[in-house]
Amino acid sequence: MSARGFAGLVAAGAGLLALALGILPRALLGADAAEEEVRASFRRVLASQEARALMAIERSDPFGGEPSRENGSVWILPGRGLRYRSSASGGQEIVIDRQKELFLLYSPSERTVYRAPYSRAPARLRRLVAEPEQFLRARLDARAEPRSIRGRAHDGYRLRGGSLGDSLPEVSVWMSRDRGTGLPHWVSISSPTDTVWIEFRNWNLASRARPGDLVLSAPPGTKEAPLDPRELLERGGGSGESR
Amino acid sequence: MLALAGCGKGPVSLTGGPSGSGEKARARFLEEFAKAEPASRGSGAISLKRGSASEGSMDVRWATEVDSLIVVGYVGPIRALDASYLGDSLYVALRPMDLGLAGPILGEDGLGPHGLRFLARPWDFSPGWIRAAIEHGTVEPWGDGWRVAGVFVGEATNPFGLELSAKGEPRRLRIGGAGGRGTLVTIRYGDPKSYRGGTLPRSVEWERGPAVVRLDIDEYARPGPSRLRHLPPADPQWTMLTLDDPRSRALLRRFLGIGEDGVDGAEP
Repeated sequence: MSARGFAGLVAAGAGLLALALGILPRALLGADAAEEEVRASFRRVLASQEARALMAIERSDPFGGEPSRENGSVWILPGRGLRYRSSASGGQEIVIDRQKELFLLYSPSERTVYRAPYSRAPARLRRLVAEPEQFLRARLDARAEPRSIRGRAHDGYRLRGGSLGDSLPEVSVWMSRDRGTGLPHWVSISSPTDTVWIEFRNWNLASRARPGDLVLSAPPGTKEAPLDPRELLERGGGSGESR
Repeated sequence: MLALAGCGKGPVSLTGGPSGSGEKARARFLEEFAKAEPASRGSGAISLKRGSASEGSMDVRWATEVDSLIVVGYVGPIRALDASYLGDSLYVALRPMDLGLAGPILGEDGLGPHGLRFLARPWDFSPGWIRAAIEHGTVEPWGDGWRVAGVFVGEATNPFGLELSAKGEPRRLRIGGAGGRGTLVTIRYGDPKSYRGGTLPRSVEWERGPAVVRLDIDEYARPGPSRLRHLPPADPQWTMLTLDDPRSRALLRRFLGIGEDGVDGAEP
């Protein structure tokens, strides 16, 4: 698979962040306490000027092997942009900057920054950036459900999977809040074949946004290449936007 | 003397050719690498080079059961690729592109459906048509090892040359185009490594034209034949292409070199 192929996949696949940060709150609507608690947890993040957190992402092996793990950091500037940076050696970094009309992917292992217009970023992430309030308005059907994570019980909520609208059907979603801060702590997204666990730690909700946090860490002079995961289908009439 | 001391290296003749018997090397190869693989699971990293330029990498996990194969690819933590090969039916989903390819592999496609199954896991020489061709091939000295030359007879007739070390370990397999026209694909095998599920090359490279796809194998196991999970179905909003669609051909050619009409000029 070519660089643009891989890079295109990861960039367009940044929807995982959307799942964790955006799609859940989109499903929030309802009057009961469970829904309000979940909604309030995400609202604090999305209503801030800038939210930063560490993320640990663990994905199960659909065939019974050891899970894969990745750590990273996320910066969310509601209305402005979003950045995710993997802390793995050679791990990728993604920036969506609405104001600069940019969608960037930095691949340290390839020493390349892939550049695309903002409109090429996954639509869910763009919605999260541009209309965070919209994410706080949909039906969720949250139900209290404790789960054990690494042998430790966590109070949390099962959410309506069908509300995700993601490519993966029959997705089951669960989240828990941090006991101390009430902010999102764990999010799990399960399909019939595998499960992704995302742990948010060290949330920092700033009263002022720092646009500089939306700058890639690529060294000056890093090679740039266009990124368009749909360019391969252009002759076939693929749509111009990433969903 | 070193061999007697147990260093594991076979003796090499002073004339530069292999020592021992080519027949014995082939027998050792068949014993170790042509055992049936009823079910397997593995993980590793796959990367692509075009010329000297690196063009990205992807973590992969796979499972096989009898003739079926499922592969899942991740870029970072993101599940980006699903592929299954069940019977003669191939399905590939490029999730972030909302795109799927599906259809049967036809006999005239490269090595045909059986050949694709072998090329997908070219460390398993147990299929009858592969094993028989190696058993009936001619063996000749080749550097410090051996070379088995013969013909794969499947959907078409493809000459091959399989290079073995003096100890009967696979080094390189060149498969010629139908009727001996050029080289269809060259497969290079890394040094053997003992995994939980048996001995496998620690890496495999598929070379086709200027493109080299490399798989570094991290884990290989032979679970009970029940871990094969069918992939989630395609989303109704995805673009689904049949394999005979020109756009499918273009994608496969771009990503994997599959479906290219031309073959290399080198002899197998």
